[in-house]
Amino acid sequence: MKKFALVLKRMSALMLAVVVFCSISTFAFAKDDELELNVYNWGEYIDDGTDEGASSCEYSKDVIKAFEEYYKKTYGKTVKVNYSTFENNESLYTKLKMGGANYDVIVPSDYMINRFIKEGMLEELDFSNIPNYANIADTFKGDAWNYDPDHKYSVPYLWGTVGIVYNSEYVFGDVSTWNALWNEEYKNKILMFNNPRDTFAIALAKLSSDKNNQNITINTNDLTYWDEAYKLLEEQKPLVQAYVTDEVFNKMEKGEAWLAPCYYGDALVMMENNDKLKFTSINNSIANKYVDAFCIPKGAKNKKLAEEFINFMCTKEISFANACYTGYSSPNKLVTEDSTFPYYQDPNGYPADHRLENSYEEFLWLNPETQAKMDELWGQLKKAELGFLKWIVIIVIALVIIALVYVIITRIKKGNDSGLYEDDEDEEEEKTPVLSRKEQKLAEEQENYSPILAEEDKLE
Amino acid sequence: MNNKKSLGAKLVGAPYYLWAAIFTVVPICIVMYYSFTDSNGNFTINNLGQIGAYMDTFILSICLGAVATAICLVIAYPMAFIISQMPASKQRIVLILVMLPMWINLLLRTYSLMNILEDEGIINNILSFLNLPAIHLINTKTAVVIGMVYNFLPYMILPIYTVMSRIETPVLEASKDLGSNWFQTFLRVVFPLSIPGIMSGITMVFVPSVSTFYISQKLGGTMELIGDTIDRQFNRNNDFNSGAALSFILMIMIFICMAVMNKFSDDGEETIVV
Repeated sequence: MKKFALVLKRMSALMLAVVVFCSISTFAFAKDDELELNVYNWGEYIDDGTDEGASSCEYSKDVIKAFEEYYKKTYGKTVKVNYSTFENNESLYTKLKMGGANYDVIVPSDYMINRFIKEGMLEELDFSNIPNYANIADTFKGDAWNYDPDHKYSVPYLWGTVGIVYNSEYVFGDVSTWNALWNEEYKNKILMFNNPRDTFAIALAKLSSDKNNQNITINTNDLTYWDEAYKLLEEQKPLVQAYVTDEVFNKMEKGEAWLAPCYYGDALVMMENNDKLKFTSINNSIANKYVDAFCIPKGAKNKKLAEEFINFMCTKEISFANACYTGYSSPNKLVTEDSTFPYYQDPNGYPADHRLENSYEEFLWLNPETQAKMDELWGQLKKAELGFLKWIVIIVIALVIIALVYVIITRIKKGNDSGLYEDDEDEEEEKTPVLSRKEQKLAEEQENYSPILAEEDKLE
Repeated sequence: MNNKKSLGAKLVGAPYYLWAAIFTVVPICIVMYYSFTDSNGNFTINNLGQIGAYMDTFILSICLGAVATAICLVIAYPMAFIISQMPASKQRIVLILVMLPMWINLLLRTYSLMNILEDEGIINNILSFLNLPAIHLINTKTAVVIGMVYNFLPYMILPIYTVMSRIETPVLEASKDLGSNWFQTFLRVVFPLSIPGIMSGITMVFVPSVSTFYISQKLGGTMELIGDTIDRQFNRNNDFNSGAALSFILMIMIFICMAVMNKFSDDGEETIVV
């Protein structure tokens, strides 16, 4: 088996070498006149042209390719877009903070932008290079959104709201309040987000409407509210089937689960695959609204090109294509005012401005203490509770340790009778490091004998 | 006798030692560094205090890992024995079948297992088609153990098979010649000779089972094993220090478990030999 492991190790070493070589050679052979733009976006979050022809969207295209062609045509230079994707804001943060990566354009969510700004990790944008910023609806430039207070660092890409998606085949009652997720009737059929921020936001919103207290917001830094929200989640845990990320699609579409908090854009995909699924926004309390926006991290190599890219993404055709492809709401007013837009005046996707301002709240970056509290409470919520089983296991482990001690003691006793010889030999070697040839030969021979035979030899 | 190796032999081993140093020793040192420092780089042992808070998670992980390992052993041992007794051409085919699932990514396999075990999944669809009562599997400990066994079974079969295929027929014949029946031959010849394979099989199944994080996330519902906790500390909370501390504790626990097992197996071998 060791051999197998060794082969495996060697193979992975070889693979690593190949990867390193390939990446070196790409750098080495990149032409001087060829520009590179590193874009880091969410997975499945841009039109890649796979819907072309099939969908109702007339603008559908491979957006990245379109940019490369556009740039070649306008400036006569080849630009190579290295497009890669991340899974969540936190991994984006870790990557940027560790400094191992080099990105020109990133697309974090509101609260992460808020954090990046507070930690000085973003470049200020030069809006004279982004004339299409004028296409972005005015609501995104005013007080309705506070993650980028002066609107200096980010250009909104796509946004959305959270509501509840439910299966109308099994769920009949009113589910337009967060209380639906605490309903015993739906025990083991409820899904929740597998991340603390979204899950606690729901609990805090419910707390706020339960107590009729407007001071409790999803960005509150009052730790007592977080404790109370935790109690709600603890109470809810036995009803929850699973804390999920992407599995929500599969589980909702198959009817494995009946109720889940969900982004509207995601709900659209599910509803397309199962017509029993319905989406409702939340009526009696706050819900989360979010926006993902283009930013340029500090130290970006090609800021001007990055701004060119952002500008291109704000054109009507491209915004239209992306909004159609992803199903998330577009901040581009040229898109939303176009009556051929498939989600034109969709009340779930585009709530009225006053609702957006009053019933929805975006995440802001929390105080470090609140953040730590949230992580701690989330850990507490998720950790296992074993009850009496724990004591059985501890007793078993204790017995094993006692047995082990017994074994070791009997071995030491045995060692006193037979194992002593080997130790002696070692010591001898240490004392006389230079052995004569004869002695060496003797030692070699002894090595091949069993200890008992060897001992007899010595006696002779 | 190691010191008698020629310079050439040492040089041949050099790439491996370099590899081990860079990708095994250095990372362990980094883990230890993070375990014993706080976010500002000052020395602290508070990180290790978390073991109290996550005791239940640790125990649950070790229990599920042990159960999965035991099931793997029960399935793999006869399987390996049967394979080793087959004619060589068949052995190759069966071994490929054993390894075939390993060619598919673990994440993919676990995700499809989720579809199989769900209440509306393949198993329950077949049961309801046959008018049998449905069984609830997904989001239970059973589902997690099934996931571990399914994913790590080849790692148990292969080492045991390797050892068993080296037991030569004359040895078995000699045992028969000396008057042992089938069962005695197995107990006194085959089993003792296969112990090294069992031990490495147990190591190779137990260690990844205990530290797994994806399987429990997808199949365990609200359950969290220690691997998930560590994953969360690193990826979500960006808290490298406590994540490293938990990994460090897990490493020590696994090390103790392996040491205990090795002690017992050494002892077992000795008693049989003597």
